[in-house]
Formats: sequence, structure tokens, C-alpha cells
Amino acid sequence: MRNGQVEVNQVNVDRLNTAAQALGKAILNSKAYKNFVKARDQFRIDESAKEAAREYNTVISDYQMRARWGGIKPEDENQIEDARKKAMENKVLGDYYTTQEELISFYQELNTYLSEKLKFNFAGLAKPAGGCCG
Amino acid sequence: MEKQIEYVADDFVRALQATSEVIEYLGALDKYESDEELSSLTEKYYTLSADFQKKQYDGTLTQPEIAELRRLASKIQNNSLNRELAEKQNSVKEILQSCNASISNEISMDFAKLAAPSTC
Repeated sequence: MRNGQVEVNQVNVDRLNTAAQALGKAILNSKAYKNFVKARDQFRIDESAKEAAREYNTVISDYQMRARWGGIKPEDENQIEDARKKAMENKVLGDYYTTQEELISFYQELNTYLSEKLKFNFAGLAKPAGGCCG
Repeated sequence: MEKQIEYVADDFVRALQATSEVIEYLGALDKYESDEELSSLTEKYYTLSADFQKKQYDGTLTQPEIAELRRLASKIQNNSLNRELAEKQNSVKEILQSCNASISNEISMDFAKLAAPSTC
């Protein structure tokens, strides 16, 4: 590769790195991110919210365990829904889950925006290799 | 989406579009998608694959049918445009993963992992 070409590539890489960092910083300043961080910090210091999350996670874990061994009954679906409703009754936990879902929706919207302009799925190619749900 | 995010996202897109990896990947993708022979082979592969899945479920799938599917898969894999696309995709992935690391480092969570369409 010629020296001039190497320099052009280095300039592009530097510009790209700066632009990626700027995008990260812009996300930090978004409403969705700020709302999530506020709700998460509140959750971290609220013992009743943490207890409600533990109860909900226990129901989810039991359900997943039964699903793995093929022991799911129709009423188990209702049990999950009831547990979710109960968890969401705790305002701090409810806010934490809601803002988390809103943040993920915002990330997906941003990825759609980037991907439409790039003509390929940015996050689909940029995510680390590994298991599909991991 | 917030205007400030759009502005910064547009700048990020322009920076990506200026890299040789993205230019070459899009070129390879265009050649791949516009090649009639490859399109026809891929379409045939997916159609047969769907048919054979049903047959496998019914227990009526034959060895010649499996061999035909393997022959098609091998023909697609060895197609020069397909190989070129795979090579360019690997290069573009490296640069996109590096961008994702920069974004994720700022926000303290993996942006691409959360934003990517689920493949489950």
C-alpha cells in the first residue's frame, strides 16, 4: 500500500473512532439513557424493590427450569404474568423495568436509523460473536 | 429520535462510509445480490431445504435428496462472489466491532448486543 493511502486510511480510522465516541456521548445525554440511569440508581438503594425483583426472578427461574424439562402447563403462563404484575406494583422496580425496556427500544430505533443509511444491519454485524441469547 | 442524536449518528454514518472496508463490503454485497446465477441457486437451496424439512419430519427424505441439497450448498459456498462477500464481511465486522467497543465503552453497556435483532 502506498504511503498516501496509508495516511488516508489512518485519518479515516481516527475520524471513525472520534465519531463512534461522540455517538456514545450523545446516547449518554439522551432522555432514555438518563431516565434509565435515574431509575437504576433508585433501584440499587431501595431494599423493597430489590426484594420484589428477587421474588420475580425466582418465579422466572422456576418457569425456565420447568420449560427446560418439558413440564410447562398453561397455568404457568398465568403465574408468570401474575408475578410480573406484582413486581410492577413496586414503583421503583416498575420504573426500573420500564425505563430499561424504553432504553432498549431507543437502541433498536437508533440501530434502525444507522442501518437504513448504511444499507446493512449495523448492530447485527457489530455485536460480539457468541450464543444467540447470550 | 432526538435531533442531536440524529446529527451525531449522521456524522458516524459518514465516517463509516468513508472507510475502505465499508466501501468494499457494499461493493461485494451489490455484486452478490445482483448475480442471477447465485440468486437462482440460493432460492433453489432455500425452497428445497424447506421441502426437505417437511419430508424429514414425515420420514420420507431420501439419500439422493440429501445429496442434492449438499451439492447445492457446496456450489453456493464455493461461488467466487459468495467467498468474496464472506471475506469482505469479516473485514467490515472487525471495524464495526471496534466502533461498537468505542460506543459501548462510553455508555457502560454493549450497544450492539442490546440493539441487534434477536436471532433466537
